[in-house]
Amino acid sequence: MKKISKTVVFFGSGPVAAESLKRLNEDFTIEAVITKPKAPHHKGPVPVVELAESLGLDIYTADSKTALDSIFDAQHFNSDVAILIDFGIIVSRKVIDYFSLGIINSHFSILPEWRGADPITFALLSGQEKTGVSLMILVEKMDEGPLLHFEEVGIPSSYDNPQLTQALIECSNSLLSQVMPKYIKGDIKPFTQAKTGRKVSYSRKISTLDSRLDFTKTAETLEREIRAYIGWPGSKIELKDKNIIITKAHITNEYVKPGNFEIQNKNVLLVGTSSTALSIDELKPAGKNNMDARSFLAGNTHLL
Amino acid sequence: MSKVNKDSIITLPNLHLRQRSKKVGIINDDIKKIIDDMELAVIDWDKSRAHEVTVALAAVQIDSLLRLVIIRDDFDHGTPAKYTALINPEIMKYEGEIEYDYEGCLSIRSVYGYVPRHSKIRVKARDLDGKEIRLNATGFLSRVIQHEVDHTNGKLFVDHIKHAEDAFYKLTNKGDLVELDYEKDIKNSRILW
Repeated sequence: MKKISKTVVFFGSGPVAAESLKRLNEDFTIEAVITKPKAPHHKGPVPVVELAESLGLDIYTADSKTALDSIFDAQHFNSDVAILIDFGIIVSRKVIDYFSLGIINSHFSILPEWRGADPITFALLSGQEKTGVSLMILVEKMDEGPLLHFEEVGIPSSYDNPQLTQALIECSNSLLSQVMPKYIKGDIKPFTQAKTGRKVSYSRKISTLDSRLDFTKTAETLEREIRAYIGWPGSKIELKDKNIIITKAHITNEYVKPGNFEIQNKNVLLVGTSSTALSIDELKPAGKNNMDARSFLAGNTHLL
Repeated sequence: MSKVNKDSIITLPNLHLRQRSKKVGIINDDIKKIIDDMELAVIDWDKSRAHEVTVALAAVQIDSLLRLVIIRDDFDHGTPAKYTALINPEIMKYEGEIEYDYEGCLSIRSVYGYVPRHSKIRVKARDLDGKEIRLNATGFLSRVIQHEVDHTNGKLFVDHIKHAEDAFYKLTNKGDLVELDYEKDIKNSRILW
């Protein structure tokens, strides 16, 4: 016996979307992948397009809300439901209404906490001990839709952005795999975000302006920034016109004047903050590889 | 020997589909080979279809007239698909209500039917180790097992709706079901009956 397969349309653009699509393709019949086109000056990979091509999926690209609308004017999709992850384009009411069961967005925080563009970075900056994943029915207002499910993910104090992102992707994939079939069958009743007991807060897109380490902040804040901004935009200091990215640091009990450096035993590099000093464990001078404090101090004390 | 693939699946008007299959005796390597072949045929068939998925297959459909069926473990998702074999499946009791739903058959090209089935059945079968299993099937699984046990008895889903003028559909290339013209396409079809 055969039956008509339940298909889903996938909306996603970034590397997180690609990792999710890979797993979703094992669990669902993907009718189409809708993604951002490769930008004209963009040199890097377009992971969703490359993956979708290798899986032989139908691909549609849109670079704006209106371009997305016109895909839905021209094409017929059979799916009753869509999944949206890391898409990067606002979706109009018209497109949302196209799917009778809606568009399900996997959002990487427990809503209504950290609505907006960068919930992962903001969870790290806040120092909270756990965040999570919410499956939300997309509505026009940003990240305000009802939820199908949410699950907590712990944040070990050593976690940096890529590590937390990976943990959240895994949580999201397993939630989608468990929850979507039940939702399609009608076995899940959506609930309001208030039910999670979290307070409303907002994240925003991080910019290169966030990368400058400001030593009038506390050691605690700066250490979190280093973990949160690793990868991009990085946490930078400038020493005699040389840009240096700090990739790992820990908080000490020592006191050093804010913004000043102190070297101990040729292998410990402290920098003063508004609280106690931060010990810089690893760093990456512009154009060089990542190195530990000892290697850096071996040749660069003249910069300090 | 030629390779088993989607083309190994026989379709109407092949009269073997109208025959009763024989009981399986000892579950030997030949039987296991047939089960493997059924899975290979189904996997290959699924790959070729954009909007359909195989939920079960009976051995007669690859032209082995044995009371042997495989059923997909998870109807809604799961790739690669996994299947469970039921040997000599028998419906002991029909219960529940009559429910209607759409079903299709790999052995009936391009026709879907809106078919009445019992919502609950009690089933007896043997597993691959020869052990007797009994199960109560409800909902879609109940439908699937009824469809497959019909195969082992030479019966097809269209036989249940033979005179229902509004129960025949075809699947469009886009994946939508559209009603077929009963008088023109179904009533006097030389393939179906």
